[in-house]
Amino acid sequence: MIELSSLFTWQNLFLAFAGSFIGLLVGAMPGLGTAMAIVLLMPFSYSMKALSAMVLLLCAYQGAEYGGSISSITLGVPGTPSASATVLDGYAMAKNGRPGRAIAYSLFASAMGGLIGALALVFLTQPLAKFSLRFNSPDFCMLALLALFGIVTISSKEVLKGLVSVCIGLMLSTVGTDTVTGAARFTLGLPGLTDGIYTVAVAVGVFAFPEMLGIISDALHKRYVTDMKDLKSDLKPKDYAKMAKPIAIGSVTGIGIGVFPGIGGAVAAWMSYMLARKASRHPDTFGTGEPEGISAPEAANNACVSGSLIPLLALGIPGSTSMAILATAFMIHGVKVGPNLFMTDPALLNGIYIAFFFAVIIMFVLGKLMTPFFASILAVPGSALVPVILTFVLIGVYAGKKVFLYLWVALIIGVVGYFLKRKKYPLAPIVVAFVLGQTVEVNFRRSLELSGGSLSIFVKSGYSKVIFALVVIVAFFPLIKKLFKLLTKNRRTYLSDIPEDDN
Amino acid sequence: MTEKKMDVAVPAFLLCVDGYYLYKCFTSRKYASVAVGPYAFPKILGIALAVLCVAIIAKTLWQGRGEKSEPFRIGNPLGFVAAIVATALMILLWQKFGKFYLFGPIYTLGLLLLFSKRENRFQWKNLLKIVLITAGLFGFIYLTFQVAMGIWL
Repeated sequence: MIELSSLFTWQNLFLAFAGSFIGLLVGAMPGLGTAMAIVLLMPFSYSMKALSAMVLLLCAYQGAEYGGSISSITLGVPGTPSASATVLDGYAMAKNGRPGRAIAYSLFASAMGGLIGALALVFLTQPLAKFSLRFNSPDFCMLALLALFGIVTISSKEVLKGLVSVCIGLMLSTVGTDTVTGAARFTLGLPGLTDGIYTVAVAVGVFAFPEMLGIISDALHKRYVTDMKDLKSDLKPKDYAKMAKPIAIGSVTGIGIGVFPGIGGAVAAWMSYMLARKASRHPDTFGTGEPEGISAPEAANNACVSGSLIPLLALGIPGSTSMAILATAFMIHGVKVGPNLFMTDPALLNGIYIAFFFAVIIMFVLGKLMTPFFASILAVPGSALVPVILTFVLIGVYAGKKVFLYLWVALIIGVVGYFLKRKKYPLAPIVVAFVLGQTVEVNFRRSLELSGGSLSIFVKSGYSKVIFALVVIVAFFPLIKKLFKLLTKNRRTYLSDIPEDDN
Repeated sequence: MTEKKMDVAVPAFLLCVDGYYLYKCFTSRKYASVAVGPYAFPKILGIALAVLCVAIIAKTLWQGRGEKSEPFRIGNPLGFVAAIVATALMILLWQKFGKFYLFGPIYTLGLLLLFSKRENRFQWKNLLKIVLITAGLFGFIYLTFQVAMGIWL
C-alpha cells in the first residue's frame, strides 16, 4: 500500500488545485474540450514524479468534464461534447431565472458521478487485469482492433472516413525503428525519426493546431458573454434526495459506457438522459428545466472518466483520445500501463486510486467557490486565446524531447488535420490508433509467427472467439443503428443529437 | 475550389502520400530471417488506406452527380495563413538560433496584434494590453519552466 505521505504533500495538493482549475477553465470554453486540457498541462508534468504528474492530469480531466456544463447552463453552448445533454434542462432552468440552482445540481451530480466512478475504478481494475493475464498475443491484437472499430463505428457518423483516420494513426505509428529487425522504416533519412514520432507531437498536431486554425478562421472575435447573475445557490436536503435516482442511473451508465472503448462521455450522457427520463415519474417536464435531466448526464460524464481509465490501467488499451494522451503521459514517466502494472508498480496504482477521489473533492470545492469566475472567463475572445495556446503547445512539444523535428511534424499534421476536420474526418481515431499502433503490430506479427502465417489463430482460443464476435458486432454497428432507426422511424431518438466526441 | 472538389482533393492527397508509403513498403530490403517482415503490417495499412480513399472518391463523385456545390471557404484567410507562416518562422528561428525568450514573445505579440485587427485596422489602443499579456505569459513561462522545473527552452 502506498504511503499516504507521498501523495498528500504540499506539492501534490497544489498540483491538484492547479489541475482542477485549468481543467475547469478549459472545459468551460466551448470547443476546447478535455483532451486540450490534458495536452496543455502535459509539458508542466515532464519534470515531475509519475504520481504527481497523474494527480495534475487526472484533476484536469475531472475538472474539464464538469467545466463543460458551466457554458451549457449559462449560454446553452456545451463546453465539451459530453456536456451537450446538459443543455436541454440546464439552459432551460437558467432561462427560468435559476442558473445557480442548475449549476448546483450539475456540480453535485458531477461530484457524485466522479466518486461512484472512482469506487468502480478501485474495485474493477484489478479483477479485469487479473483476468487479462490469460490473454495472449492474438487476444491483445483483437482487443486493440475492438477499441479502434469501436471508435470508428460507434462515435463517428461517417464510417469510411473514420477508417481512414484509423489507417493514418496506425501508419504514423509504423514510423521509426522496427523493434524486431532493427529496420529504419519511413524515417526519410532523418535521424530524429528513428525513435518514431513523439506522441505529444501527434496529439498536438491532431488536436491543438486544427482547433486553433478553426477558431482563427471562424470564431476569432466571438465572445461568449453571459449576463446571468445569481450563479451561486445552495440546495435543500429534499433536492439532494430528488437527485439520487438520476445520479445512480447516470453513474452506472457512465461507468459501463466508459469501460467500453470508443464510445465516450457524450453517448453516456445522452443515454443516461434518456434512461432517467424513462425512469422518471414526470417525463413530460424533461427539457423544461428538470433537475433530473441535469443530474443524470452530469453524473454519467464524470463517471465515464473513471470507467474509461479501467481498460487503460488493466489492459493498457486507451478507449478515448484523452486516455490515449494519458497513456502517453504514463510512457513519458517510464510507466508501462497494462496488467503487469499491478506487479511492477502497485504503489503508483494505489496512488492513482486515491488521487481520483482527491480530484473529485477538489473539483467540487473549486466549483462551489469559483463557478461565477469560470462563467465570466468565457468572455475572453479567441483573438487573445489562440496566441497563448499556440505558444504553450509549441513548448509542450519541444520540452518533452527537445527535438525540433517534432515541432515540424506537429505543424504539418496540424495543417493536414485542419482540412481533414473540415471534411468531417474524425480526428480522435488518429491519436488512439497511433497510441495503439505498437500493440496491434507487435501482437499481430507475434501471432502470425506462432501460427506460421495462418490467420485462424485470431479465432482459435475461447477468448479470441468472444472478442472476434464483439469486433464483428461493433463493425456492423452502423447497420444495426440504421435498422434501429428504421424500426423507430416515427419516434424521436435523442441518439441522433449526439455530437462526435473527440475527447 | 468547391466543397465537392475539396471532398475529392483530401482523399486524393492522402492517396498520393499513401503511394509513397506503399512504394517504400514494396521497395525496401527484404528480411528473410523473420517469417513476418517489418513491412508486412505497413503493406496491409497502405493497401487498406488506398482502397478507402478510392471508395470515398467514388462515393463523392457518385453522390454529387449534377448537384451544385458551395464554394470551399476559409474564413479570415489572412489570419489563417499568417498563423501557419508565423508558427513555421518561429520554429525555424528557434531551431536556428535558440533564444526562445527572444523569438517567443515576438511571435506571441505579433499574433495578438494581428488577431486584434478589426475592419482592416490594427487596434493600437490595445497595444498596452497586448504587451502586458505577452510579458505576463513569458514571465510565467520563465518562472515555471526555467526556474521551477529546470527545463531550458
